[in-house]
Amino acid sequence: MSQIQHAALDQQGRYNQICTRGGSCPPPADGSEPAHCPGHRSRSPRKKWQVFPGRNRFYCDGRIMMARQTGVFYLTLVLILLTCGLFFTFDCPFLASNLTPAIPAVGGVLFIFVMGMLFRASFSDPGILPRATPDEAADLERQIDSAGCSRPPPRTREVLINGQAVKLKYCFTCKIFRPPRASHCSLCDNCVERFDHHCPWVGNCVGRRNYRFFYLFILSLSLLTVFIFAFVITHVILRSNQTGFLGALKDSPASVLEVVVCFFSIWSIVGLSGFHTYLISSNQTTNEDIKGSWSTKRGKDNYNPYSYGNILTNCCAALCGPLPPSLIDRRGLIQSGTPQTVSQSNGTSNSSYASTQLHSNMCDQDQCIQSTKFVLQAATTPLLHSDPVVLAPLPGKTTTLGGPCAYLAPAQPSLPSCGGDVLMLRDAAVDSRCHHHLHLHHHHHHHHFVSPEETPCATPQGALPCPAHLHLHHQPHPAIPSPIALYDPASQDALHEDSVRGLVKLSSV
Amino acid sequence: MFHNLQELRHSPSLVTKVFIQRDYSEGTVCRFQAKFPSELDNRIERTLLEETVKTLNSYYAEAEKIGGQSYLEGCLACATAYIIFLCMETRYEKVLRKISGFIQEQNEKIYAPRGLLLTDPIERGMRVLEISVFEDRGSGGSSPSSTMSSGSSAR
Repeated sequence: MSQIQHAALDQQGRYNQICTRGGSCPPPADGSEPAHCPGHRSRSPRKKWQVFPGRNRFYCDGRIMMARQTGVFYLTLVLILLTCGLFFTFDCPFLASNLTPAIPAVGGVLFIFVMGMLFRASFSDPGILPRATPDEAADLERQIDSAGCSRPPPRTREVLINGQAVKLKYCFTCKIFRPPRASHCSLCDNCVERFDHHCPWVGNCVGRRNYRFFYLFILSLSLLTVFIFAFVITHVILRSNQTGFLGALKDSPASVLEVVVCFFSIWSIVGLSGFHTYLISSNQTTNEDIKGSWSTKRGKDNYNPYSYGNILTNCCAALCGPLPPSLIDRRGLIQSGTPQTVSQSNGTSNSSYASTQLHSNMCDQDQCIQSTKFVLQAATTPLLHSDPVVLAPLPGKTTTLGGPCAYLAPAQPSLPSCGGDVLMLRDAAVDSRCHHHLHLHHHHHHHHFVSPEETPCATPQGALPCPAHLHLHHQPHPAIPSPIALYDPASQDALHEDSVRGLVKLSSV
Repeated sequence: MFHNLQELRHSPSLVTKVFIQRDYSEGTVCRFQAKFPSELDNRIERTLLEETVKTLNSYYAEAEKIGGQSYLEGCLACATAYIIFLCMETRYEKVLRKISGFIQEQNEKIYAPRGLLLTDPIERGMRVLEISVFEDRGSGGSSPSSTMSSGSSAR
């Protein structure tokens, strides 16, 4: 590749591209925009890997992708190349001439296979699930909020797979319900399908798309390690037959290093291969095994619903099954009409939600808030127009006054999560007339909204209504003024009409 | 009435998007729920949409089928250290191309005349089958009454 574009993250965590070809990229014009090469911005359309929201690095114009921390991967590379290099340089000539030239040939094939599998495992997409588009996220949010009557709203879904109950969790970063066996990698900040683990040696997550490469890598590497170990020992033994042990070591000092590296590698790598062979044959992921998801310790009826029942089928499915293509389309061009994915983490709502105004986005909570505002505004408007004689404004949240008439003592209008109930009515005393008014207003709307001061429950004789009716309890909404007015009985009917009108307005919300 | 797909695509009168979610009851294979979304009740006949979803599901099942052909392909690829995929397309990719052709055809024949547009699930990461609902604005024809109408269509 003639042009390698190194990518880095800026403070907002968004993916930026820094051109490393000197001179061809003018410096960014202003610091407010993300530091993409401005020359490219206007001319060539950007590719999707350049705005990828996860913490991955991309090379070769998006063909290669890796995790952010790649230091251990380079260590792996160095160890393998060094050991193999030493083997081919120092041990193979002796072995080829004294034993058979098949040894370096087989070694060579093994080495190429190991490197191929390593690169495939490291550089390919492990099965990353792209984040939800804003429309999808909004739709899901609506479903979640309308589903539960309890707070907090349910963020898990239960699904029955082959008779086993599996919980699907909601990912706050990606704004999706994770498919079964998927998990969110915190290092790469992506949801990965059939997530096995994040391997620092390989510098990437191991998931659905690269598990077979990872497995073949560790299997072939363990074979290669055993191969090199065996033949280096053979080489030293054969030499020491000729020149004595110390002489042999002096003649090929590299062998010592190789033996040491291989010895320690064998324990870890062969062990790992054995473990993954067990996982493959039982069709589990490392993640599931560590959590004990399908262990019988959790319950007698707990079993792995993904297993095909027999070892051979499980192995074939994992290694020879169809290879799904990458879902993130990293080298595709960004089109102007394409919905961009939600890139904010921690579940905070972002401005792209504003673009989903095309369908009614108001959840019940919003409706409640809006309705409350309507009612209270409608109810206070006639008050302000009439001739107010202000009683002492009520400071407290719930204040009661004695009196012969019933008073409306609405509960604190806390934000509801369902049903749309905001203000609850409670009749403390019996007064048929007040009840009458209450019921009247109940008929006018289907929610239990009643403005706190709404029905001046004055007696038809023209007596002053008891102040209890005019309590306007302290509301959290700043739009509602707290002072209360005393009605002039003559205009009481008009006020009554107005508040009814206000409530009718409410019912149309 | 929308007469062709181009008209539908360039029309600005997108009302809402309906999402058909994945059905995980058979494991991690790609399947979409056959449940008919209520928002489309008066836009399209139930059977048509169900047929489309069923066909899509069968395509995906074919792509992910584990059998003789997939084993052969897997072993051959492994033997050549997966270099063969530089020249050859995997079976999954072949089926995906078939699927996108199918969706295009369905859109042209069935969905666009009804003011709907299917989006290929691969463009949404195989999470959902997205159906865009367009409001039939500015036509004197007898478009079905929409529950989301903002009173824009002339009757």
